[in-house]
Amino acid sequence: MRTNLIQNYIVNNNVSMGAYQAPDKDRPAFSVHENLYNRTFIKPLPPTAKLVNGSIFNAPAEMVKDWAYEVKSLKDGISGKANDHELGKLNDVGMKLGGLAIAAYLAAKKSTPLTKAMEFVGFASFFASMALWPKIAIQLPAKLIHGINTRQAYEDSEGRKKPFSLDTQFLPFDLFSDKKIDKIGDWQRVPKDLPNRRDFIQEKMRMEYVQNNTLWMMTAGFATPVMSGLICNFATPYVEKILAKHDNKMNEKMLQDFPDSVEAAVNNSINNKIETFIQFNKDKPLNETVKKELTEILTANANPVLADGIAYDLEQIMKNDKYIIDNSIPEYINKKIIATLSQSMDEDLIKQIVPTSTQISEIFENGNYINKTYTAKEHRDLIAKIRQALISNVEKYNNISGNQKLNTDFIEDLVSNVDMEADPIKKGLKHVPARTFDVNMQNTVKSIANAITNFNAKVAVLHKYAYKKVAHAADSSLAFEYNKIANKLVKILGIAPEELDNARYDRELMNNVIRSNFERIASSKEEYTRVMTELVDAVSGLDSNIKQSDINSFKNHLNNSFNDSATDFTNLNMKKTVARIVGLNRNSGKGSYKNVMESFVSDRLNGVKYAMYRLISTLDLYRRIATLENTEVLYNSDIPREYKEAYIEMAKRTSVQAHSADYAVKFYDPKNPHPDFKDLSNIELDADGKPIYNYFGKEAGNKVDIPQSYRIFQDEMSLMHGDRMHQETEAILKPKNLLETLREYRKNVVEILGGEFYFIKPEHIATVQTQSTSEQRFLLSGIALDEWLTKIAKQTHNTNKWLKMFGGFGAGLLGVTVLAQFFFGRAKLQDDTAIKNNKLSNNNLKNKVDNHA
Amino acid sequence: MILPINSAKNVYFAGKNSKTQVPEKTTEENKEKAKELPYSEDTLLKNNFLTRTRIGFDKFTNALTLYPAKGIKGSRNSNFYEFLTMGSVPYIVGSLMLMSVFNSANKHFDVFSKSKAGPIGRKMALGVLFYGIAKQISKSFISMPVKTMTGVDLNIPYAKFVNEHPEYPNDSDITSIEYHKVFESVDFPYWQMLYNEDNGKPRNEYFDKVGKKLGLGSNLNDSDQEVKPLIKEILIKAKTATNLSTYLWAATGVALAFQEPWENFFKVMSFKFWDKAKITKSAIAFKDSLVDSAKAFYHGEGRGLQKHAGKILLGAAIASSVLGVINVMSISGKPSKLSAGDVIDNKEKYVVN
Repeated sequence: MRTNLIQNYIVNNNVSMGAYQAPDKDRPAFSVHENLYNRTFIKPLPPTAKLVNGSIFNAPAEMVKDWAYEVKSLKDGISGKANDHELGKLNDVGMKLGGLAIAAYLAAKKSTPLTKAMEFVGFASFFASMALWPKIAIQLPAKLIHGINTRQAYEDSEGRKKPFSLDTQFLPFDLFSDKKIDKIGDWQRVPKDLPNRRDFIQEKMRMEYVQNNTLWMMTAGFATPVMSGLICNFATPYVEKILAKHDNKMNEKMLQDFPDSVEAAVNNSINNKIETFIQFNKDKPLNETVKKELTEILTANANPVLADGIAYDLEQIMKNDKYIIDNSIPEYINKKIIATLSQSMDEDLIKQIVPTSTQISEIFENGNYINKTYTAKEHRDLIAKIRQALISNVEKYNNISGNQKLNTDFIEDLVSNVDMEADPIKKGLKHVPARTFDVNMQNTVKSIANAITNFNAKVAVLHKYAYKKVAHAADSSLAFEYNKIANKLVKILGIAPEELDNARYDRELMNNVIRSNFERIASSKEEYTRVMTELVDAVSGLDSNIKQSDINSFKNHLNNSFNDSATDFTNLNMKKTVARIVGLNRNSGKGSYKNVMESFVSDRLNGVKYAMYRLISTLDLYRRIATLENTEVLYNSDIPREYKEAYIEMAKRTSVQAHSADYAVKFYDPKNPHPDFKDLSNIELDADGKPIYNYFGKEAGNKVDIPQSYRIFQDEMSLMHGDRMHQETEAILKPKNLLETLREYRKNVVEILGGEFYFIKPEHIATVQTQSTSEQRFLLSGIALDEWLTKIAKQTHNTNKWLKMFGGFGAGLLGVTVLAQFFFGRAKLQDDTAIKNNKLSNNNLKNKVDNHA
Repeated sequence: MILPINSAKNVYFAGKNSKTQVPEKTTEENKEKAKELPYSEDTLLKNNFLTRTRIGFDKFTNALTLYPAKGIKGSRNSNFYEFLTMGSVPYIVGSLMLMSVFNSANKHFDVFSKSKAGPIGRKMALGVLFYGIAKQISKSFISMPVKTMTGVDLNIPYAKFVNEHPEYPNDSDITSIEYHKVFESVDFPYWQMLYNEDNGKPRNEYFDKVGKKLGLGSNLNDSDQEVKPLIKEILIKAKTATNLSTYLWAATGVALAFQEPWENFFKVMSFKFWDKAKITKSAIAFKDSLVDSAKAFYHGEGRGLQKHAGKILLGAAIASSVLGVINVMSISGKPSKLSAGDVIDNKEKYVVN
């Protein structure tokens, strides 16, 4: 606790105070001593300010202290007691609050966890840059060059923490000990014997503080956004990795605790709506409106195909075949007839001839039909009687109307129709169904609602899992793995960045880049082994991160969930719904919702995997050609040398560029139709492992596609995908358990892509003709490598361009900022001289003051 | 180090009564200097658009030219005011830089990437612009009602006549003008500026007016003493509200800039002010996009937080301003005069034990 001024004085000076002498206004003489005596105790307390030396150890404590101070500032601000320092702090609080609000708003608008997270990373990086730039570019160099701390903080006697050098005209140098100042002077090589050394050092420090403050203000605007951008750029992959890992883990956990996850996903809105509906509609006739509303509630948010099934089944369950006649019917029929006739007759006339409600009521009462159901025969009788009533009214009218008689047959025709909907009397009689929304029906509907809610919850969990795992979305595990491999690819293949960059706009150029690089890789055993090993490692990473066991577990849950729900729906007699979710045949599940979900996952997975397999297979082909191993076709003594050369070219190009459509048309591949059949020699290689061509590129005459020669297609398929893989490739694949997978893949390519029937070239079948879907063929062909690399090249170009521009700018700015500091604190060399001649200048000053006086 | 003032006759300390202190024998140089400066003493200025613009322009040009030049040389006259004024440089440069970070590289991208990166970059640039505008405008959400209801104008400017240190022997250029606000410090408001001196009006006119507005009645004996603590409280509360709410408004501005409809404006955006047709089209598109964006911002898309984020942000900004003003208006009421215990009666004798 602080003592007050007076107590403090007494304790420190051990004085005994006399009575305070009030100044006497009339006293003519002014005594300095007396005044001083009287005022001695009104002197300030000894200062308790101190320098704050921030270190990593007291940082947390300082942070807590700062927070507490901010809270206090806010409290004081609101109650109107804050001081300038506290209000300044509140400004910082407001700035952070606003920044956080921006990040939170933008994150709320973003859809993926990564983009959401990056908004906060952006916010944090911006504020971090604001704090880091002066530390890195100014504080650190200043410490090294001048030995001063430009970010020195001090705590004033009131306990307010302030930057030491902010106001350079009021620097509290008292807080620096002589030793500290001397140390700084030594660092700055101030001569030790300088008179008034401390003053000189302080002046130098003041200059440096001013200069550094100015430098900070001049550079921060350039540096902060660039630094923030660079931080975000470097942080993205790490944030992405952390999020992907976390997401994948949560996703797996969701599936492991499947029952709990389902329970958590239960949305009772359907059940609740049904309960409310029952309250308002119980025991009401089960008419169209009731049925429609029930169907709408039960199919809300359902997949439209499934909704159709449910609606159909509900229609069957709530089917009416009996109707009753209640008191509302006479009036209803009366209105219906009026409505029908009003299309062709005047209103006045209609009023005179249409049977009134009372008339119709009498018919029902006479036959004792009220509140009863009726048979088909009674239905016919009732129709006849009501029509008869109408006819007799018409006849009565005719009797009194004179010449303007109505044709009774015509009128009867107007109100008669085979279609129940168009016949007012038939329709009227079937207005009130005999069936009501009774307890049985209520229970059935409740059970259906339960079954649907349960099914929806299971689907929601499975859907979320499938989406997070393999969806074509930026935040799926599969996308993350795919990007991971894509990002490594250029480095693995050893393609020079400039080469890739230059080819990014043109497929042909990219094709050349790939080809030259693949040939380079394939020509050397060491390089090939390195590339293939790294590639296989990367691809097998996909298998270890998206495990087959996980996918199998998903399929099991999918099967069980759908089958259980199918049983529930079967018990509720909802056959169409069952067919929609598990198919007419549960084992095959053909055309079912279940199969769609299952194949979505496997297709997406295969789509990515096959892109990788194609890459491995292509590189293997280049290696086989470069070594002429496992290339049976090229050793075939029936094939002319010219064609062997053409096959090699064809295979190299197709394996890089082809889409499934190229296989479908059996390759458009012009060749010389009359090759030299005498030259059946084998291919030779040059020193770089490239085939030596005697014919290719030197052919005279026109080349054409030869549709009748299916052998060419078969040979090419065999060279590309049919021959065994290179032994080096197999040796690398085997330990990673990918050998059989790759073999299976290549076999499928030959059989499925090569086995498709094409009516223009019907004989062009690689081995056997096969049936396949376009989806299968599309997936099998994977991604064309030139297209893949073009995409990568464009992305890399964009990122690199940005980095080059702003990274370069940032580095330049940092350089200039640091360099500038070497010129700081030395502009006052004349002062040095002045100080060295201190005595002289003091004398001069004295003289001048004397002169002036 | 303080340089000797070796040409004392060239120096005059302006302050309040500078006119009387100007030495009779001034050099030609000093006469010119005295003419150059618009004020020869601390002068209260009218808080109107013209003055604000003039001060803003003066501070801005100095912040970019004179102050950095002085600062980088380590001038002894480079003071805290100049440092704070230079604080606007990183704001402006940083805003331009932020726009550049998101836009400059785009022109090197391929067409598709450009089409994707373009609108994001432009929205970012617009966001930076709206941040500044919203922050500036929202200050008046507090200051306007406070001025109307209490008569206290938080932003009354005054020109401060500053005597500087000589930079070198015979330096006669040792005066300058700074633009401050009377209430820029809550600890030390420049009360002196608010009294009428020598103009025939009541000395306490300002305080009488504020006192009346605050319900203390007219005819106060010493209205300045009554009103000063109240003004201080108003200042503190208003500054607290301003410091917190302006940033929320700024955030709202950024959020507004990030709405989809702006892309329509970007398509026809033009700065060719000499091309009337283009600039008209651009202005109309801006207006339409602003209206549509405001709607999109308010209504939101999707569901849950995503849908209501705009309303929440806007609500928070409005609430911060409204609550801020309410808090300012709930000042502690009529001040008691200093209690007897706080006053030393000169006629009495006091003994300290």
